[in-house]
Amino acid sequence: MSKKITVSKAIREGLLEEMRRDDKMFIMGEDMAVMGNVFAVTTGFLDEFGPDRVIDTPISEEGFCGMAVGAAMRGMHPCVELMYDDFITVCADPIFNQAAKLKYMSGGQCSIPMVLRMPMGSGRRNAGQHSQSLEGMVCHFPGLKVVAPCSAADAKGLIKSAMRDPDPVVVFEHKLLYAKKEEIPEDEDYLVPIGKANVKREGKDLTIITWSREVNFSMEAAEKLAAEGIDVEVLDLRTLVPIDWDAIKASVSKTHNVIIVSEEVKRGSYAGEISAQIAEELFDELDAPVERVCGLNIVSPFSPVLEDQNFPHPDDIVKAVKRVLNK
Amino acid sequence: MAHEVLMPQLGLTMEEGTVSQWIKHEGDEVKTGDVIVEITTDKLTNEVASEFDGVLLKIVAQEGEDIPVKGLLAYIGQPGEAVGGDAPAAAPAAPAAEAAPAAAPAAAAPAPVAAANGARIRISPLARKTAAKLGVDYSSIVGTGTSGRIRQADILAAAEAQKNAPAAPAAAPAAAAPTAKPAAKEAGLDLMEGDTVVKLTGMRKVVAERMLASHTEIPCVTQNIKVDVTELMKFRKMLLAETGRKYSVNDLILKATAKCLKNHPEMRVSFDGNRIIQRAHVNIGMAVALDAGLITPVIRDADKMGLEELADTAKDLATRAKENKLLPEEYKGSTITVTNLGMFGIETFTPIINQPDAAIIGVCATENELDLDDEGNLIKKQVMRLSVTLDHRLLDGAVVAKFEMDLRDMLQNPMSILL
Repeated sequence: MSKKITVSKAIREGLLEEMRRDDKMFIMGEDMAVMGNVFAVTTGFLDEFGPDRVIDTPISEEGFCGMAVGAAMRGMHPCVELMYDDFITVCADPIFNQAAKLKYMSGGQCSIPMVLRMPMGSGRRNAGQHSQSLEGMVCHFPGLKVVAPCSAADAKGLIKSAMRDPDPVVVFEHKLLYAKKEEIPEDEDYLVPIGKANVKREGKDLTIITWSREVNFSMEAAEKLAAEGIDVEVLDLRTLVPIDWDAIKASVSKTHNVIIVSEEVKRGSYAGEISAQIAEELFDELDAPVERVCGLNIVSPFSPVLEDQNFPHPDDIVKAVKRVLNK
Repeated sequence: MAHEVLMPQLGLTMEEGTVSQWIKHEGDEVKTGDVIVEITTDKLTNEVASEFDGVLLKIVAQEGEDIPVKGLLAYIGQPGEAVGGDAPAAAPAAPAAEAAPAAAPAAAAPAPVAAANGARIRISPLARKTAAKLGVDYSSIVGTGTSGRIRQADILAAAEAQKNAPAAPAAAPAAAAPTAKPAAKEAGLDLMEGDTVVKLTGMRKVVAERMLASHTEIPCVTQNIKVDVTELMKFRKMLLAETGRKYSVNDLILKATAKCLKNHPEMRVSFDGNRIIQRAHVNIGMAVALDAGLITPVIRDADKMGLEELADTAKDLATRAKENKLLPEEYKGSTITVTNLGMFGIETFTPIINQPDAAIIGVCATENELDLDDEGNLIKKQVMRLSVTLDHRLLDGAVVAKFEMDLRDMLQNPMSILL
């Protein structure tokens, strides 16, 4: 049985089910309670769970992230939202230095079972300080798990798995996916495991490794390529850390050609990290150089015309695939 | 252990270099970046800088010696340090290390790292692995990947072809490693009183090898055409008056040639065994005479340059050629060459093709000539001959004649050069 709902509703369902299941869980962030979140992820939560478990904060990301880390140390299960992932830079210490490391610094005496939700991505005319895709930076820090779902079903299944995980999990949610309506299972208690990629489309000529919104673009590109007789495989990573290396290895060993598509600034991107790992460990499987298809090395422009040039579209992916295959 | 100073590889085709001069001497202190030796190679003199701090302990390769790439030149280390087992072989080892991958599977064909012409082969890791597994020699395969990279599909096709043609699978002429060219035998000529002997080195040696190869491999024809340059000479004066710049006859000929070549793609071809390469770019090699020999720097995409830019480029390349300051890539990649002996009063000549070009244009002297005009009056004209040598494997006389006529017409109507 399945039903059709938006990605933001799917996340809301996941959070709602977990709030009802787990009374140690609470939600905190800017406009999360009275307003019910700018993307309507927590509408109705304040009425059902009250102000102790659904907390509006001032604009004070470092402060409330620090509070969440402290609460998690004491056994609570906080779910914190940064309105935009760009704001991670002001809470670098509580997230990267405390949440990620305290289990290790304390010799395993505590763990930090918190979830940090971060809307990300370009295309909303939000300009340079509210449009970034910072996967590369977040994935750099050992101690964090990082997921970046694309579909509604994965978004719900992963947020539930994240809430049940004993370690800090960062969830990248693409802002322009929230309104997309998709089929999800009716089953209340289904989970999508952290660390498992999904072969979204099978193919034999080339593997597109991607995540978040670029999965949809890659699927569009794959259809266009199929019309020209090029059969690509689309691997939706879903989880970035820990990466599903078995899935990557299996796919690359099958197709021998790879591109990695993400919305990040290309320089220093997580796409680059994956490319390097493939070059190191799967060199003998490669029939062409691995190509990264990413955003430009520029500050995200405000101009709609320019912003749309700044992340990979299906046609860019089609071109990259043809370049690699020399078709 | 002291550090070895090795003969660097300064161009794709470089196989050896000649030690022309040691700048540092045994016992001298050297720092990283200090020039320690000059080597002559591929027509140019290059400086080799030290990659280490220390003392030049021992010079192994003496001035005038030809040393293969990666061959031992000298040792740098701390004073008193032992060098290379203290008994460096007199003849430096051939560059074996690169040629033989250490752990080639026993059953596999020798994996070549160099093409028949010595250039590195582009091959994907997967294709290389597959070739080793199937025992395919890929040194002569033309890849279908980006930039001609050999892909797995190419190896599989070659393996299939090998299976279907078992008679001559190993007939490919390519050697696994670039074998050193046998040195030309000295005939042992008798020396007469006053004769001196100079070793054939550096640029002279390269010129000798290349000219001999071209002359023996190419069935060539030289076709001379007479050009009335009376108007061209006036045009030069007009340009001088208009722009204040004195353009040489050669500048105008280069410009006309570039323009004409753009319309004659059939002239821009290269012979490569069983293949004909159609050259996309109008890259004009320009022969520059030097005391030590000659060199042909290349004006890339000459057809896209205006007269001023072309003249600037030609001048810059010629100047740096004479100062021995060209980079290796600046004298490679021509698709046709222009050589000018006009300033020496040469009436016609038979230029030798600069491989892999398929033709060379020789520019001859401008002379006065008397002629009759339409009314029968005696008039004075200025004429110049172009001597075009063609590779008859690729080009036929009539084809090149049409090109020559077009070039002549353009030079006789000089405004069309700039239009």
